[in-house]
Amino acid sequence: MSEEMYQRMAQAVLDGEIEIAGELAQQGLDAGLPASDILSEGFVKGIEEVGDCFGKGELFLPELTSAAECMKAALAVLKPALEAAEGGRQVTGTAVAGSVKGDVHEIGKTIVCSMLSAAGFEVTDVGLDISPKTFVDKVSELKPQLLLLSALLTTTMFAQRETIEALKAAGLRDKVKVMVGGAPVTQEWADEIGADGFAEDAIAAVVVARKLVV
Amino acid sequence: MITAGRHIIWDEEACARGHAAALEILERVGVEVRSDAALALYEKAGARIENTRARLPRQLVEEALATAPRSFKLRARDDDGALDLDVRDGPVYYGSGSDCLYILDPVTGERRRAVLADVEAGVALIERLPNINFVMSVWLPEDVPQEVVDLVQLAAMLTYTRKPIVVSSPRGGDAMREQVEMAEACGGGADSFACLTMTAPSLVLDEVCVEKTLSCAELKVPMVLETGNSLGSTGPVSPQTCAAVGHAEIMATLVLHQLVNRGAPFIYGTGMSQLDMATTVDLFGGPESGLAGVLQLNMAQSLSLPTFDYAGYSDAKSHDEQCVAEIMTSCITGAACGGTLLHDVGYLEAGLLSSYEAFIMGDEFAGMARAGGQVLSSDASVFDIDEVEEVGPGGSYLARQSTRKSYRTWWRSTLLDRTNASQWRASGSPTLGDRLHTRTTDMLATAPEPVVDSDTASRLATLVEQARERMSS
Repeated sequence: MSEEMYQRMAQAVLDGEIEIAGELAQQGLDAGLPASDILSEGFVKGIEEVGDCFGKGELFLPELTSAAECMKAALAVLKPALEAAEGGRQVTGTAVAGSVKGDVHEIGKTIVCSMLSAAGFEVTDVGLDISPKTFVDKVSELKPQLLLLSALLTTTMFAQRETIEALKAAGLRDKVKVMVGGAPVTQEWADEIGADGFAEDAIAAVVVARKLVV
Repeated sequence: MITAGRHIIWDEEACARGHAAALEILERVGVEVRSDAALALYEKAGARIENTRARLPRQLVEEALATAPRSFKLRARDDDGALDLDVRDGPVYYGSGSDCLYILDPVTGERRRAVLADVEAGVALIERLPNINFVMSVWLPEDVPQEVVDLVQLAAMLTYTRKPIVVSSPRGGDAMREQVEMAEACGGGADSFACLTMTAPSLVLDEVCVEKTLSCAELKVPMVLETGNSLGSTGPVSPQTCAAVGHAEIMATLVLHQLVNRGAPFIYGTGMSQLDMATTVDLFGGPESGLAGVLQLNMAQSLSLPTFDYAGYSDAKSHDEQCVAEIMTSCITGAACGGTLLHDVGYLEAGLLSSYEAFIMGDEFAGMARAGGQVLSSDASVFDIDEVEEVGPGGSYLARQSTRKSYRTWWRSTLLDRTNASQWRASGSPTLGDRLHTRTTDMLATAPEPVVDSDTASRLATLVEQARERMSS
């Protein structure tokens, strides 16, 4: 019975059925299944398969991003139960991501968030046009291992530096690893502004993120 | 107008349906406007405002279309006006792209960040390329103060080319007044450059877009508005719906532009791309987004608006066979579709990279495409049947006066090999790549030649410096 339900959860992630994923999470809880098992035996199995298939070139970005949305929907339902459970949830790492001040471009950041979710990270996407102060507040509140700053434009990449400086001023710089990305961003720029990691694309970002949270 | 001789996908009736879909989007969904000034203008004109969302009744679009000019000049700074562009739906002009981060170094072949010397040499070289009619900055130089990089680029363009310019400055307001002042300092003015503005993401007019729209309208700097939708990511996956969304964004911006200054010049841009869903690269050369771009182009043409489209680009990383194929194909389809200003000749790597070789190659194929894409008349007077009768069956036209007069207008290749096999072998069997390298080296052997005197060049430098001081104070 529970095995069949876990399979349906994994399948919902594979099919990108976001609403159904949320409903199945609730049904699982209603049936008395432990929240951590619902996650690890059901939804995570699905997103791991999506991640593997993406790596093999059998599934593509739309499947990956919709799978990440399914995870988000399921987690929203499971979160209270997961937090109440002893030991909490096992994740690869935790991350906060957003596009920096002045930048209203979403896609690159969203893809990176999806890839990280697929790799088992717990990712909080704080959105677009995020000021250094808001990033500092989020780091202080959520205590993520990683902070990811996205900038598409040469004119907005300077806000990545400002955000890092704001973390320093708030005494939080050594509490979080900062990754920067976006079309104009290079390793040289990352080094110059004192970021911990840079990746040219979302696939490389997962590799860098894994290294940084070890 | 949708005319003969063009590659069209949507005829007048289909364009009217696409336009109607865009009007419905503006009424039902509206646009997100991140500017109080713009929201106030929309509201005063009769738009329905809800927080930052403006829903526009179709009448506003009709009023804007009634006053948007269908034809104007983009002035060059040559003596006789031969390089002026007649900006209207009809003639096709090619131009470079702007703001590439990287250059393939012509000597080492290394991919490196571009510097100001590259921009200057590139613009000076484009000045000498006969089929490139307007100039964009090509590169974003990293060795100049970034807060005024747009003005530094403009100074380089004004110094090294007389051809009309399209600027891609990220700012309006003071920056645009500074640009007009710089153009005036060397014999140009608000009518000798156009300003490229983009909406991004879809159905959002952000602060920069609005600021530039207002400044262009006030100063009568021709404004190019380009949408930046990517099929299936920032825009709908359906080419038809994505084109309707892009068209709606352009109509919304045109409304704002014409509310500020009725009759100010406006150019309709058809930006469209698609993500490669495996690699996440936002492609220039995707056929489906190309198709969606043509739909938008057709809608603009059905409204007789001048347009801004693409040609001469490639997603390749080097001057390889893919590069040749994509630059050539896009030059030809660009001419066949009949956009007015075709930009990004010489773009590589999805717009991150460019090279001297790439725009020399683009110039070659632009010339070929223009020659092969001419719209030829079928008036009775063009058929010289008297001559056919005089020469008779089996006769030769080689020595005829008509042949002597006409053949010199044929396009002549400067890169493609048109020798016979023994001539080719005797010259060392050079490939296209070899000939391209030789031509690039030859052209770069001449130092970039300013088209302005030294006083004007220092005046431009002073204006840039003053702008920088104003910004830092």
